[in-house]
Amino acid sequence: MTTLREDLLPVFDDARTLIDDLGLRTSSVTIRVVTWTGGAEGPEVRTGTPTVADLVLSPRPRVRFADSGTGLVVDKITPTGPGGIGYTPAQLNPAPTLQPGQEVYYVVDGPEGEHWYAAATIDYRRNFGYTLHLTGLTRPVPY
Amino acid sequence: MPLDASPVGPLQIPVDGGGYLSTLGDPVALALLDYLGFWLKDSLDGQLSQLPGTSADACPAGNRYAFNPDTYFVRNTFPALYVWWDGKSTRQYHTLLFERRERTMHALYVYEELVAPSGIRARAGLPAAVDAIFAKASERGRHPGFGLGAAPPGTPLWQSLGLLKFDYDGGQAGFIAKIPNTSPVPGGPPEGSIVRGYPALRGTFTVWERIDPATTQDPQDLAGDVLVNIATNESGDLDNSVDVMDRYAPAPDGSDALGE
Repeated sequence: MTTLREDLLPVFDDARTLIDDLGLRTSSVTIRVVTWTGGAEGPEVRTGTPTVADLVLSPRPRVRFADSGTGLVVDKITPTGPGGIGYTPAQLNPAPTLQPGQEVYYVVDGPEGEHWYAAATIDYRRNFGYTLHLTGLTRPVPY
Repeated sequence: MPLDASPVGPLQIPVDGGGYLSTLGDPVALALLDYLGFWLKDSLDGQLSQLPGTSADACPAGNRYAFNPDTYFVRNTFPALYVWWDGKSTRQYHTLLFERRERTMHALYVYEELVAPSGIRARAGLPAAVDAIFAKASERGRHPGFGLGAAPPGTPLWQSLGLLKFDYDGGQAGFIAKIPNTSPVPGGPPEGSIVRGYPALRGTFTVWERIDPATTQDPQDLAGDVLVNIATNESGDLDNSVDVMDRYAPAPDGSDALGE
């Protein structure tokens, strides 16, 4: 027997897909894992040849500036649910399972261009939406 | 008007007007940028080219800055070299003929961002190598392939700059990282102990700049021809005199010799 939450997750996902289709989400969010071949000491980040694996969040989540003005809040990410919708915590935060020679960062492509971010915190506590708090690795002007 | 034109180290006083919109820079800082940048590229480019993933150019010519990067370096590209004066100087006795000005110059070398702990082993020795390069560059004072400005390669830096001393005092290595919003230190709990930062080395150099004595300028300070008027009067009445002749006493032309 499914729970009310599991029954409602597809509804939330469909609504977010509709908002995305209407063009109301102007920023795309990609979780990028880069695997480096490494050097004489073995696999090592930023050494050797990189292989990129991207996970583009779909439907597009909502992206807002953090209250501090120097990071982003990415929310309205559907948790994993029936029918293969949504994302698991492990997908949103690959850091704990990275292998030697791997790095992860978040690519947000929005009105100010493409910039890279690292995850400061990830909130999994809400029933129908996960939230990423991102801190900038590249800093768009003016801040 | 007689002038007193002479240099303090490489800086000509009065400062030479380089033309409209020309830069008023610190010539010692600019020279050290060129000299140390040359040494860094000559010493490290070969090894860095064997480590793809980060810059193979140890010190690009466009990434050399003659200012203190504190609080705003993140907007520059890397690797980068910064050289600046810390703002304090001392005037000291050197000889009977001239004195010297002692200054401390700072050099900060910052490499590209690396990820720690998973990405620092291959370049863990970079700050130590930069420190050794600074020490060698100071000890040699010259490089067979480097000439400052239009000077021939191999010209000592102290000679090009009019320095009495140019010594590397030592360096301090570090890993420059941004303090995240959610943690008091890099790599705190929200980051999962992953730190992104820039390997760096900050060194200090002591320079002695010669304060040259006054030099004469041509034609302002040189002796010129002097107009001589010969007049006569009666009974010493200076207000009633008659001019006899006007002649010029010529200035020395360099051909006079003592004893002739």
